[in-house]
Amino acid sequence: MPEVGQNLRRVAAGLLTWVLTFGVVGVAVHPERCGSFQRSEVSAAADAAVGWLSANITNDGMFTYRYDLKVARDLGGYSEPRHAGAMLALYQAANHGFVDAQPTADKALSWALDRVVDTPIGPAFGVGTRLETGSTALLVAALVERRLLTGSDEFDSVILDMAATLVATVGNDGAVDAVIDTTTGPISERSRFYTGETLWALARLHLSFPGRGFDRAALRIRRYLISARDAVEKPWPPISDHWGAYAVETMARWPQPPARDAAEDAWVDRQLWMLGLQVRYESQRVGGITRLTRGDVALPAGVGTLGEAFGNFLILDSRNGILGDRRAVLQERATCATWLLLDRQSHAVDADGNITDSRVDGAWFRQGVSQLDDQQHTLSTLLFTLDWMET
Amino acid sequence: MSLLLVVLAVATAANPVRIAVAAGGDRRAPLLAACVLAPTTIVVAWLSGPINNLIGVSTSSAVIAAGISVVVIGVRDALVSPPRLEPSSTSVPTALFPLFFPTMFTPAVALMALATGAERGVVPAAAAMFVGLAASVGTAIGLPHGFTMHRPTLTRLVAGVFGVGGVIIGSLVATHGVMSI
Repeated sequence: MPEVGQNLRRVAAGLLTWVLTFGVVGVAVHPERCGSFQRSEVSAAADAAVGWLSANITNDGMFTYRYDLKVARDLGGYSEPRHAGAMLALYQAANHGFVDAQPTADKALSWALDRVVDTPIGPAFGVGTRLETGSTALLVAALVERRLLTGSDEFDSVILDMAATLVATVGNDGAVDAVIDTTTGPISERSRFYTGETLWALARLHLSFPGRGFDRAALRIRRYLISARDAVEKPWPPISDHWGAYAVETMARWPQPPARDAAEDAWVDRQLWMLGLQVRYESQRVGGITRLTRGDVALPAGVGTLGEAFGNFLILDSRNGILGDRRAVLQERATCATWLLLDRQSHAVDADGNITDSRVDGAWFRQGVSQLDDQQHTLSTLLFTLDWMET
Repeated sequence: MSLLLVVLAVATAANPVRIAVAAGGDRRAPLLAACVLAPTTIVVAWLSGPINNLIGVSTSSAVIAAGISVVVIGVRDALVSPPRLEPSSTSVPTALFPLFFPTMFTPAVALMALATGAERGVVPAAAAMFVGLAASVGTAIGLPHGFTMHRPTLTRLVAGVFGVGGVIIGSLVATHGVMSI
C-alpha cells in the first residue's frame, strides 16, 4: 500500500508539472486569431474606406479628423502630414481602379496647395510657423502618385520646388530635419517617421524626374536610416518603419538601384522580425482574458502600417528575392494583418446595402474613436494586398 | 532555431540526473524508456502542423512556448530535488513508470518536438531530438549508481546545474521565437 501511495503522489506530481507548465505557457503564448479572405472582400473593404473618406471631407477639402462614435461627435483637431497621407492613399486607390477616389483626393489636394507657404529653403506645406517636413514629403509623394495616375505634368513645377525644399532638409550625414521654421528654415529635430517619408519622396522623384540629383540626397538618407539612425536617435520602442519599406522598394526600381549590402540585409531582417512579432501579438488580442495579458487592440493605423510594410517587402521580394525562404511566412503574417483589418472595419448599411451612417461605414474605430490615419494606412494596406495577391 | 540548441534543450529538459535517480541503478530501463520516447516525439513532430493549426498557434509562437516550457522545467529541476525511488516501486515496469512518465516525457520535451517539427520539419526534428535524448540517457547511464544513491546533496546540486542550464537554453529558444517573423 505505501508503494501505491508513493506512485500516486508521483503521478500527481508529474501531472502537476504538466498543468503548471502549460499554465505558464498559456499566459505567455495565446492562440492567434487570423483568417483568410477573397480578393473581392479586400476590394469591397477598400471601396468602403474610399467611401468614408469621400463622405467625410468638406467642400474645401478638409477631412473629418477625429470622430467619436459613442457620442456621435466630431472631436476636431488636425494634422497636415495625415491629411497628405490620406490624400496619398486616395491617389493609390485611384491607381487601383477605385474611380471615386480621385475627385476626393483632388479636393484634398486643393486644400493642401492653399497651404503651401514660402520658407527660407523653398515652399513647404503646413499651417503655422513650424512646418512638419513629413507634410511636404507626403504631399510630394501624393503628387507623384497623381502624376502616375493622370500622366499630367500640371503640378510638376510645384513638385520640383517642394523637392528642393526636401533636399535642403537633408544633412550631410543623411539625417532629416523634421521641422521647417517659416522664418529661420530647417530645425535640427528628428522624427520617427519623417526620415523615411522624405527618403521615399526623394526616391520617387528620382524615378519620375531622373538626372536631377534627387538620388544623391536619397542615398544619403538611405545610408543613415539603415546604418546609423537607430544608434544615433535611439528610438524606443524600435521603429518598424513602413516608410522606410516604401523607400527601399522604390529604390530597387531605380534604373541603377543601390547595391544590396550587409547593412541593408540586417535592416530588413530587423524590420521583418518587428513586423512579424507585432502582428502575432496583435492577432492574440481577442478580448476576454487577453485584455489582461495583451491589452486592448492596437490603433487601426498601427495595424495598417504593418500591412503597408509587409506589402512593400512582398512586392520587393517578387522583384529581387530578398526574402528567400521567408516569403511564405511573411505572406502568412501579411494575410493576418489584412484579415484583422477586414474583421475590424465598421459597417453601417441596411438590409439593402444602403449606407445608414456615413460617419461610420467603411471606417476603423478603436474604443469608439476613429482618426484620419486609421483610414489612410488601412486603405493603403488593402491596396497592397490586392497587389501581392497577384504576385 | 539551430539544431544544436534543440539538442541542448532536450538534453536538459530530460534531466539525466533525474533519469539516473528514477532508474534506481537499472541501466536498461532508461534505454527502454528512450525507445518509447523517441517514437513519441517523432509522432508529435510529425503532427506539429495540424496541432498548431488546430490551436491557432504560429510556428514562432510554438517556439516561444517550447522555450518557456524548458525554462519552467529548468526552474523545477533547479529548485526541487529528484524524487527518490523506493525499492518496492520496481513492481511497476520502471521504463514506463517513472522513467517515461513523468521523468523523461516532460512538457518541455513534448513542446520542443512540436516546435522543432513545425520549424525544421520532421526529419531534422527527429534527428535532433534523438541526439538530445541519447545525450541525456547516455549521461544518466554513465553516472555511478553510488552517486545517485548515497550522495543526495551532490545529486541535487548536479540536477540543479542541469536545471540552470535548462533555464539558459530555454531562454535562448524563447528569444529565438520572439525574434522570428
